[in-house]
Amino acid sequence: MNMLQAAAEASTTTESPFADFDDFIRLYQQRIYRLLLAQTGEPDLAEEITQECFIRAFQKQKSFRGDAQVFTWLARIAVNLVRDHYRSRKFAIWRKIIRFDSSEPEKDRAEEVPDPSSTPEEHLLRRERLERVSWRIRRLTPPQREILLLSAVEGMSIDEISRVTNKRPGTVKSHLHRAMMSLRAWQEGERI
Amino acid sequence: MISIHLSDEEITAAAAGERSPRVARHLEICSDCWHQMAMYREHMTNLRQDVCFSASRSAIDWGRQSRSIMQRIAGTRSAEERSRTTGWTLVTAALSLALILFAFVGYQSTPPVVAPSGNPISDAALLAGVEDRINEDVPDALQPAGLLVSEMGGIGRQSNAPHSHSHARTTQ
Repeated sequence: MNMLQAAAEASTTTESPFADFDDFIRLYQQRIYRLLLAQTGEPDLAEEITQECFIRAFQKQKSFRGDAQVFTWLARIAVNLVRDHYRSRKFAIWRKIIRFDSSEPEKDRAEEVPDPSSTPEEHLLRRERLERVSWRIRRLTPPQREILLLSAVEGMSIDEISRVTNKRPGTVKSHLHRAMMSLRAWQEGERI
Repeated sequence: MISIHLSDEEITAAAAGERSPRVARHLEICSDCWHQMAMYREHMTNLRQDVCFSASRSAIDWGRQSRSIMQRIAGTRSAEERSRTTGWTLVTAALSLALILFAFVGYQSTPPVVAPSGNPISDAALLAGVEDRINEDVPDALQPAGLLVSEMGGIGRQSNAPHSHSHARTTQ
């Protein structure tokens, strides 16, 4: 657990995590963005869903009962938003096919806005690394992807992942195992 | 003696931080399983590093994003307030309209109120008026019927002569 995570969890024990929403955003936005970026592989889309996630959290803050950690609750919102996004995108593709509307090709959002504060070399390196990670992660099924990222990137326990993804712990273990087998195959393949 | 090796699923769960006492005991004594778990952990660490590096941004960017979120929240808040105000305005307008309609319909259906006259009529005077109206002359149009009644009265008096005195007394 890094300092940011520790600070975030410590703040939840003392008072309402939503008392200062600005602080709340600052504490969790990096983790949520990281999770969403790894899931989508598209920086702009990840940013858009991160914003949507905090707006939902603000609107639904009364539904947070405190029986789970704040980040678990927030991650659940984020995961549901990603699922909704891909569901609606799938329907959008069908709508396009039905209407024979090919005038607006899908934009490659990752290409759109370069980070202005980093050097071009850093930007390029990050892009390459993101593409490599995305390439692997996209090959996993959506549940495997969600579970592997929550475990490997966010360091969540099986129970926490079970709460976030609304799946039984046994199912979580099974998906994690399959995702891990794929990950091992790719990483070993890279070494050869 | 080393018990049966852990399954891949158990090793994955152990790498993810979930260790039952049996798994923990086995990992302490079995170097093969321990190495496999360490390898899985390394894969997870590599993935984490890749993701963290890809998602790294400057403090300026994070600040921009948090401001943007706060702006959007403020926007949704004012939109909610606007819609709430609009809702209340609509409800108030509908209620006012209903009230006006109700008042109008009520006004139409109420019977006309007779304004009280300056000199109130007493009960005795009212009764006297009714009696006068009963005893007043038969209207012209009903004169033949009045003649018929008087004629029939004459016949009746002749046929019931012994009872006529008592009847006449009671009517008087």
